[in-house]
Amino acid sequence: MRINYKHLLVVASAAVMTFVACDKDDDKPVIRTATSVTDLAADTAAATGQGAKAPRYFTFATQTLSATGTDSSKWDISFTSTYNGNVTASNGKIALVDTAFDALTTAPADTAFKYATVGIDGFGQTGWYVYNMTTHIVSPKANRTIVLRTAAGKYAKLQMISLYKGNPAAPTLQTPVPYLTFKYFVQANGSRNLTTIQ
Amino acid sequence: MCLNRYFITILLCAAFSSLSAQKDTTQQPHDLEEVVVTATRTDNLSSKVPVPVTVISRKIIDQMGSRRLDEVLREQTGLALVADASGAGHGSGLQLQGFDPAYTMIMIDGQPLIGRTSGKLDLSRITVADIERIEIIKGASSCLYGSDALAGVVNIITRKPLSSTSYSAGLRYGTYNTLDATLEGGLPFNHNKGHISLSGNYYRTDGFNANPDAQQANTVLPYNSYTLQARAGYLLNSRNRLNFSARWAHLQQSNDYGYTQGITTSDKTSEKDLNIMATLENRLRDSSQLKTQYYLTRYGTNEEISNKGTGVALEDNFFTQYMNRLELQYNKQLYTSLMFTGGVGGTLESLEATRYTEKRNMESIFAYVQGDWKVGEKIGVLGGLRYDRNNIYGDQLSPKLAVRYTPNEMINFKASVGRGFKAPDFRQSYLSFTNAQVGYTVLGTEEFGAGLQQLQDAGEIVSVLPAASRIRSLSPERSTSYNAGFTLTPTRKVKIEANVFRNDVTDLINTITVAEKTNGWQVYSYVNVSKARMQGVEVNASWQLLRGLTLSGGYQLLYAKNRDVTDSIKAGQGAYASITDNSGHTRTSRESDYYGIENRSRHMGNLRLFYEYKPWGLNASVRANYRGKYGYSDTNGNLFIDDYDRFVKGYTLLNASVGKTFLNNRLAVQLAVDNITGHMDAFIPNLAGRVYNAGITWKFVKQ
Repeated sequence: MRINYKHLLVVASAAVMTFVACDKDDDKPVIRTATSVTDLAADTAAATGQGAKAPRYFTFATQTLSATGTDSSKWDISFTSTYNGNVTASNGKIALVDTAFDALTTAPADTAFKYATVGIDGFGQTGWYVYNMTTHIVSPKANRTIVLRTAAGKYAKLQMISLYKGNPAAPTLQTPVPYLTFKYFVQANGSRNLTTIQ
Repeated sequence: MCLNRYFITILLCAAFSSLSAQKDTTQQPHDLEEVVVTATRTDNLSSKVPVPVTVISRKIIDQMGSRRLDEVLREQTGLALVADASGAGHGSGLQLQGFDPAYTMIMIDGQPLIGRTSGKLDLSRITVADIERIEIIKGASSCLYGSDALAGVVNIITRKPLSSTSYSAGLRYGTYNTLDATLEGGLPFNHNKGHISLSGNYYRTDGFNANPDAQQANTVLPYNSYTLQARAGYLLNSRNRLNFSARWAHLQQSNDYGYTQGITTSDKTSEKDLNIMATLENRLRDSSQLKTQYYLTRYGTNEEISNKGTGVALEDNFFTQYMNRLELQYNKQLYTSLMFTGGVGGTLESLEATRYTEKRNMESIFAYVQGDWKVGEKIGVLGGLRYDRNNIYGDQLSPKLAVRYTPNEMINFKASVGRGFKAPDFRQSYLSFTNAQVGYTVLGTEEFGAGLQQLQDAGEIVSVLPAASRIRSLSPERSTSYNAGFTLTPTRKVKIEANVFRNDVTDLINTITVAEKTNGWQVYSYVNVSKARMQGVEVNASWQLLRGLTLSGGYQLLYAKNRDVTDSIKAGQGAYASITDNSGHTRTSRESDYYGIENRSRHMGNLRLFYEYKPWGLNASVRANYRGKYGYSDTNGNLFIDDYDRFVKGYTLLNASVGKTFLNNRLAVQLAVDNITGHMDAFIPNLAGRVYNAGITWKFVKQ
């Protein structure tokens, strides 16, 4: 069997960097991989035809999704509206950067945090997913990354991947929704450095 | 139970037909021989018709082991059977010369089938039982058939009566529990002055799931379908003949799915299709012919959506469409070289459906003339003109001119230019729909004023945009189609056909935003705004390698482009002027970035080998069908398909069949395998995996 040395090298260096990479800011080893959340059931109880969904609140540190969000210091992002697809940060400010998730290395300037909530793109709005009026299928915009600050004020980047159960390649109208699949990275040291390793 | 009732009906028909019945297949023309076609509304040899016509004979249909119309058409050059990958609508519609299914008219014996979902007529609902041949006319044919014959026409010709009693019974069974049973019979009476024939078909399938990751339901749902067809004719006297035909098809489909945890939704659809045709043919004293035809068709669906557990009804949708048509056609041979055809008629259509405010009617009258002039042996000229007047979209003139030049026996040139149109559909005129999941509203142009006022009165409108002033009654979508090609027959055993086509489409109907709603969404309506161009080349060749062994192949090259996109890219501004690559870098779009309209393959082709050994009654076929890659959806947000978007990979389907006849051709058995490699793709919901099926047919003809 031919060994793909190039591939091995990449894997090996990624592993090394994951464990020992040093952050320029404070020289402590940090974990630089994103956290993935798969098929998190949001408000699946409401029939799809009945419009808006009951909101859900997600906390990065505990990876928990809750139906109550009265204390905005307890959650980092909320999922509201159609298919629970509208994302809001606890401080009400979101930036959208047209860069692939892993290619985004730095949080943008404060002025970029100009969206209160991001959901649909088009129809006069800017957001993370496109809605096809013929097929009624929601799909994420490629290379668009959400940047926000957590309840504790840390910079974080977020990529919404799917609202459909199982994140199928070709979801249909009958695919169960909303099941949230996304990945995120929180820069724990408070800097704007959002570099991650795949 | 409904199923049983229909089954009994079929049995009764069967009993009746065996008593008398009959039918036989006439001698099928050989692949390379001449066939008679009705592409010009009068019988004509295919080589004398100056427009591109493809004929699929009964023999080919039988050899392929096909059961439904989509199975036959998907193996023809340049045709693709397309489905909604979203599951928004089921079934397979026909894409011809790059046009969406809405732009091709599907007819049985020259009269249109109705009942389209989002413009698509589901061809899997049509059985191939009782079909003599299928003619596919490419290029705008509105000059003969009016609206919808913009890309072309598929005309299903049913079997002609025979002069002796015959009957047949056929049964096929295969993968996915697919059962197809046909009983047919025909009987002449009163010294062959009259005939009657009946055909009953039952089809059922479990369906299949091409996209198991995405859903709990199948992409092709389980369904069963009954089709009953009856025809009768009587020669009243030496000059007058009366014909009558009727077709009734009933399809039932069910689907259980779960949007939400623990709740299963049951969705039951019943679809009924009725066609009745009565024709009086008179041969007048001067040997001209007059045909008076009345056609009635009704298509209706009922959909019941309920909670499967509790039985509580959630939604009840219906759709009922009627069409009545009376038509007179007159043919006269003027001199020896000029055949004149003229016709007048009127059509009444109505539609009632859940999403429309009330029952809607459409009325139209039409008249057409056609001259088929054979200028000596070598040249033929065909000219036609049709006028349609409609209460909604007004007047339409559809001319067509075609020429044929046959310098010698080896080569035959054909060229034609014609205008086609497609009336705005009921949806575009009368829809009044608010999407409950999302919140936008779509108003048909005729509903626009009242609908918008209603929203304003309800306080749901923030602002009405200037674009609202553009909303008026829609005009038809129009196209000019050009076809030019040749047929080369260097020897009796080889035939090569080539055709270059271009269709310039204007006034395509598209949605525009006309108002902003308080919920942050928009109100949409329709305008005649877009342009498109479909062009390409089609080549077909067949070669009789040995006695009984024929190799044939076909290829289509297609460029299908929305000209709004190409114009915007050329101008460097507008909605399509920028493109984002995979690394998120945005730049100005180039013309070469635009791959073409979604769901169009640039390359399609087929290769087939048919073998027949008559002494043993043996036949076999191996067929390969290639469909090249095509754009599926825009993912980088510039609303056109480019290299950074999602494509469906090209694929080849391999099909084979082997059959043998026994007892003087009375008994035929066949084994067929479709999609031998079992290729499936989540993005192709109507493509089944490997399908085996075996069939047996018994025919009886009274000598």
